[in-house]
Amino acid sequence: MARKPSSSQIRAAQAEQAGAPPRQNRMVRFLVLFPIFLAVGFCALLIPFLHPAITAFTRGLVEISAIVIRLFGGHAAAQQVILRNPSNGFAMEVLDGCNGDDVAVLLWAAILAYPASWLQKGKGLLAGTATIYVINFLRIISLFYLGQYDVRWFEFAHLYVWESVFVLLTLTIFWMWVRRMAAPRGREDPVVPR
Amino acid sequence: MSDHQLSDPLRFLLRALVLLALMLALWWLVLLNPLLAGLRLSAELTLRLLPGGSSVSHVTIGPDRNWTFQVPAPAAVVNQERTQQLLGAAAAGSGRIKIRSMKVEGTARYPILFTVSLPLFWAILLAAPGRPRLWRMACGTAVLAAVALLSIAVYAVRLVGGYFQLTTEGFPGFLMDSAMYLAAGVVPYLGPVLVALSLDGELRGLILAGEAAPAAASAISAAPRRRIRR
Repeated sequence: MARKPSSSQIRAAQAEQAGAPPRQNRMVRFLVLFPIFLAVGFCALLIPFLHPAITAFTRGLVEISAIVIRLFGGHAAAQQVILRNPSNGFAMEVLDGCNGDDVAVLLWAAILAYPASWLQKGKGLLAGTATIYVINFLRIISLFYLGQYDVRWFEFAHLYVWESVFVLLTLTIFWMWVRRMAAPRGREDPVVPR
Repeated sequence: MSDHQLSDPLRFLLRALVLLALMLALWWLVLLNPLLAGLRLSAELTLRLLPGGSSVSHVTIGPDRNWTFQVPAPAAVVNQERTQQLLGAAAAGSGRIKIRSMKVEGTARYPILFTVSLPLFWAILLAAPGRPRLWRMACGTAVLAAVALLSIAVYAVRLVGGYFQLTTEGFPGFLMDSAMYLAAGVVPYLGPVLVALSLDGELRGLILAGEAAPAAASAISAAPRRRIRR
């Protein structure tokens, strides 16, 4: 007995009738482009002449973290990329890999590789990147306090918990963006291929 | 954006976060030592396959969990003037120094990091909609274990290269730093996602095609009927 097509299958069929490339082609294109964009993004992060810009961004992140901690009554001072508690001497260095750039590269590669209009991509990049950096900002502040409580917990949270959480979060942001595009607007508004 | 469109990804995220906490606890408290022992054994067996490595290669884990690699010293590298100077031949003035193997020690941090991909992978697969498949878990675990072994190899090459000052500066230094950045900063976290999406077609379809999970799809189709009755 033939299975009844699902709503997403109907949408895909309508998109193909409207002149969009078949879903399988779009997925193949994504699977080819995603690793290429990812490699380009990570290479960009590793290129030495971009280091000053990345370090300047990290420095800004540390400055803002110190300001926010002080606003809420905490003790923090920023010194280049080092966040320090002057009252107990605890200090942590925010390295290039800890500023959220690599996670942003992952999201950018996925969104840019996905077949969608430039407007949809732009919205996804803006909202996704903003979410990642806001959560990374919370991560830095949480690690600052955790480090003062116990260095072993700091290490565990820094290396294993937060990094894994970030990957799950990036996957979810991307999934939500794809769902939003695939969702019917009014009744049926299939994914617009670029 | 309506609620049912957000529910699948958010439900997945919440499930995955809870499972990640459980898996990380299981990994850290129970599985880490056996995993490191397995990785050590695999690394030693791999090193023994290298030319001249069958008798001299050893990998040991100290009580502080630091790793010591005893690896065959490549003759081409040992005979270089720079290496000879490093080994002290010029100071001793007694001709060329010959060594068969060398020992380098690395911190525990990296080998542990190379295995963190496993709890993340298990959390993703278990959080995915649908029934968890044992063979997917087994295949993915095997693939990620092989990747961890590859990462250990990169780490060992970096340690040995650093000892001989072969990979500390210039383009070789940049390449080695990049390889280490990928092995320690990218692969342990990105690897589980890619492997999970490769093995779980259902999850791949949900995420890449924006399909609704079966339960959500039925809820969507049921919703208009209720409105008509009212």
